[in-house]
Amino acid sequence: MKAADPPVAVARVPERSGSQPPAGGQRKRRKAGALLPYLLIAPAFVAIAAVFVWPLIKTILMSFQDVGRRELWTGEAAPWVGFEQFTNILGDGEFWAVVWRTVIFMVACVVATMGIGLGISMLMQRMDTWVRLLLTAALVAAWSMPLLVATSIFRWFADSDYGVLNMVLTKYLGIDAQGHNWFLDPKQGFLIIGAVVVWGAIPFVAVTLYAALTQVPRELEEAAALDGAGVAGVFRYVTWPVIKPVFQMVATLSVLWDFNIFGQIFLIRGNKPEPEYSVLGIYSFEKAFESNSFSQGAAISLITVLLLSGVAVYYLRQLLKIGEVE
Amino acid sequence: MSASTSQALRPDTERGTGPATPQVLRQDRKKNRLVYNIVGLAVFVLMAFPVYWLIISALRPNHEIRSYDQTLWPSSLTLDNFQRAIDQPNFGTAIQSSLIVCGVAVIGGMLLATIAAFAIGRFRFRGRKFFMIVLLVVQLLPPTAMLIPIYIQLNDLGGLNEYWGVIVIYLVSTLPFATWMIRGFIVNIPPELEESAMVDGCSRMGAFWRVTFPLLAPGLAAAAIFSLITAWNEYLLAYVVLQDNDKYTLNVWLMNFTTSRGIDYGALMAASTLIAIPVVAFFLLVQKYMATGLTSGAVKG
Amino acid sequence: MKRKLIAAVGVAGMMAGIAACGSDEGTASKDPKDRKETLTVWLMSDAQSTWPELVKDVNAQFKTKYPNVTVKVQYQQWADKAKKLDAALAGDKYPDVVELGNTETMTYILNGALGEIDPKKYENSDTWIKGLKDTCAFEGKQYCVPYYAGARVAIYNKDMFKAGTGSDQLPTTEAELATALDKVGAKYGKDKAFSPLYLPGRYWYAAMSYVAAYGGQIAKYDEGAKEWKATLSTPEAQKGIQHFVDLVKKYNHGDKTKDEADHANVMANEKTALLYGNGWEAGSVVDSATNGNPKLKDKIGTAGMPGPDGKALPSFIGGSDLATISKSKVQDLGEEWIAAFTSAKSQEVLASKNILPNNTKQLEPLKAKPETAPIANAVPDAWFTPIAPGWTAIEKKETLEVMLLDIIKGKSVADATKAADAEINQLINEES
Repeated sequence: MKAADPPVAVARVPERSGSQPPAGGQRKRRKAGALLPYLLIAPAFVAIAAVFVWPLIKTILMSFQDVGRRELWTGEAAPWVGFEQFTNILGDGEFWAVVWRTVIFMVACVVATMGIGLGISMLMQRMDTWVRLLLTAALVAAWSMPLLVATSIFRWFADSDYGVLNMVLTKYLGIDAQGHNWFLDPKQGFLIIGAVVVWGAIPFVAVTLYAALTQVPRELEEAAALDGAGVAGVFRYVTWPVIKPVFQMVATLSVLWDFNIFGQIFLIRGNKPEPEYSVLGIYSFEKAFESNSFSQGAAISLITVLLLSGVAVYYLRQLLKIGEVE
Repeated sequence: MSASTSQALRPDTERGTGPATPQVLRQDRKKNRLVYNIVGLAVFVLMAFPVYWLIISALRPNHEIRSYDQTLWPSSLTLDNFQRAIDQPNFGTAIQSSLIVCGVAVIGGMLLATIAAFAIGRFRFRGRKFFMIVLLVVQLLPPTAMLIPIYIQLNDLGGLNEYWGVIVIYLVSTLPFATWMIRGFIVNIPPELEESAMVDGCSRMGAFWRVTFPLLAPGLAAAAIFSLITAWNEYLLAYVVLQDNDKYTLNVWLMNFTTSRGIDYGALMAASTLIAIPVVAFFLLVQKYMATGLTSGAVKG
Repeated sequence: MKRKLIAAVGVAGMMAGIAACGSDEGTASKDPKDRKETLTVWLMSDAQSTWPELVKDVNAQFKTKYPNVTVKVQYQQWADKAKKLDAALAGDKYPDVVELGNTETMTYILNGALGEIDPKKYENSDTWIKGLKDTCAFEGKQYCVPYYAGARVAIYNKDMFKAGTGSDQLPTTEAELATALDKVGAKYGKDKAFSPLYLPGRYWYAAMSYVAAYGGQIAKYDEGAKEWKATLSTPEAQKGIQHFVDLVKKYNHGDKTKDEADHANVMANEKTALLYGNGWEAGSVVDSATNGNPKLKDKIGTAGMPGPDGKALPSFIGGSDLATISKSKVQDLGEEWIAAFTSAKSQEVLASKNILPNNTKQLEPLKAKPETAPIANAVPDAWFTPIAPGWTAIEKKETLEVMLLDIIKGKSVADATKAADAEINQLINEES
């Protein structure tokens, strides 16, 4: 255990090799115990395998072929092209521009989402019940709004001719924004899209972290506060170690989602995003469906997976480390 | 929400601020509480504004929705939009489809996730890391780009135009998150609790279901809400896999308001308001469990 | 191939109940009553919302001939239909008959998804509207059947023109129109968001209409080199684009960088007196189910859009086609269903809803009807996008929209068209 952990040692007991029965230790029980975890993960594993494993293999195979609509539809054998799809994509300057755009947008969105989400969840612990209920209701209502609808509403807000945003800027802040098109400059456009994304992701983050915060033993926080630890100290030594696994998981998911972002941009640009709004999700979709090369789409997906696995490996190491260092 | 559950969350219930706490601290807290409440209300307004706009748009005469003079309150309220939404063909079957698909996917997903989380949270076994990597990889795959391979897989399994085809996909795509989420909670519950139950004669699983499972409520609730909303709002896969119009789920049905002749925004907003009701209701149902997490008593054993 | 063996039937073969269709698989000899298959038809949701009775009638008709065949009509949504069809064609549950927009057909024809059809089996096939028929043809063979057509016209607010110019008629020449628009602009100009003519800058269908008016086109097929060549930088095309941009800059006082998606909304909010849009948009302006403003009922008129040099502006021709899927095991039933659904009688139903029929013969009477005269008259001179293998890719890349946007933002027409030509040449001959 790390030095930072002691105050919550009670709550953070290492995962154990629980296959040993506490008492006795007859051979039979041990054998059954050794099988138990496999039985437990079997249903989940089978479900995942049934739905995703073959498609994943298929995607990998496809990325080394040249599959267009004709091959897909008629079952004609697609020619094998080796690494051509990958070299084409990696050698394409547009692809790297898209990757950069995606990374920057993702980082900005994740930082904003996690920061605001954590702030709200901690706030929820400290406010009166009625305020918390109001806020939770708003969060869930926002969360349950279908993407199409949420994006339409933000699109109206930002519309150049009849948007509330321009109206407020012009009428109340004295900036002449009438007719200003927020999407001409992709920087401004991404600001609006970022708002949709962050607004849409906050409920999940806040509600999940709030659930995690309920696990923090109240006495320890109070004891630490009485012992003279400041707000930051209490958070760092008491709160953070408990919510860390959930926080990391939520952050990782945000990274994955924001990296694969598709719907918000696609819908807010009226189903035809301009090239300067192309992020990886849109790029691979366009390659697959619109330029009739499912193989290129597949190759881009795999490259995306490889890029993301950097994040994934970090997370996995963290995940495996927790509780295993005895 | 019951009084006891809300109290468990308050930092200054009698548990914390006993008679020994100095008076100064208490007044300080009151002031802080006020600040927190005000900030909380501000956040509420920001988060709720688009929701407010949704509802108010649903109640506005259709041509005012994108009027050039935006007002916070409509000039007149009308239920026409709701009427058109309800009159849209297949509304009833869509409700039924969504309930079946999402209900089975969420319940099944929670069950599978809980036992899998128990396995990776409590046991060390060969293949455990591999399983966790599998869970992770599933999340990495870009959903739109995987559409065709997944479709072909369902075709081979015979799941096209069947509820179970969609259910399985929803279940599997929310499973990794749910497993991790629940595992995160299991890790924070001392295994000693289960062990003492086993000493009392419970089997390993019996001890888990009786002792640990009830303590997982907040994690389960959060994971269930996540799974429900993900499944409830999914559109593209359901649209592509389900072919009969009377099997469409609500979100697919919602797209009926977008035609080549424009979008009926009023009906769309009204329909989405209606569609959100079950989700919000479900949340209200489970949210009290989210607050009954690990109480200090349980931790002390 | 099976379809080649299908015996040709007379025009109204199906109506007459002659079971002359069949194939080498033995269905030819079968009694229609012995057919027990299922015919799956994908129609767009417009049929469900606007002409459901036609679908019902045709299915009932079909039932009398094939009492044991189940016809399953599944309505699709424009937004993601292409994805669904792409996926479905890769599996076992594909439709037998499908509706396609006339700009979408080429992809499916080139990739062998559609079955060849024999025009002789369809009523009025000799007078099919060219703009639709051509989108179904490839290398001399026909792969789909025109369903209905659409054309663009001037849609105007009669009250506003009356108040501005004293007449509720739209002028018939562009010069007169310009004077009228100035007057209307003067009358309503106090509102800064008011545009006498709302012509959005990215509206490439309109821009290309002006190109067509000056005798230009997007691209030309070079018979010698056997390939398509972009022609936007030719003097005629440049003149047309310049003309369009001038109109946008002069009369559009809203956001000039939008596309045409907001047309109906702008007019419903009385922020413009004139639009150049699809014929049916006049209905959208007043229909409360499409965000229209019912108060404007009877105040919205349609007319031919005056173009340069005293001629009418040539319109883009839109529309839908119906096709059978080549893999389908009931292609012959599919063809019969389409024949019934596009028969003269069926087209009559569409015409009664002010939708343009698929043939010029039935178009004639619409030219006399005041509500439909403007759209019907726009059909003969209509233009269509190049029927080239790579055209879809160019549309997806938004080459034309980017070009127009660049010009609106200040790039010269000569430079912008040259850049667009280069991009088009790169894509247009590549199959997509």
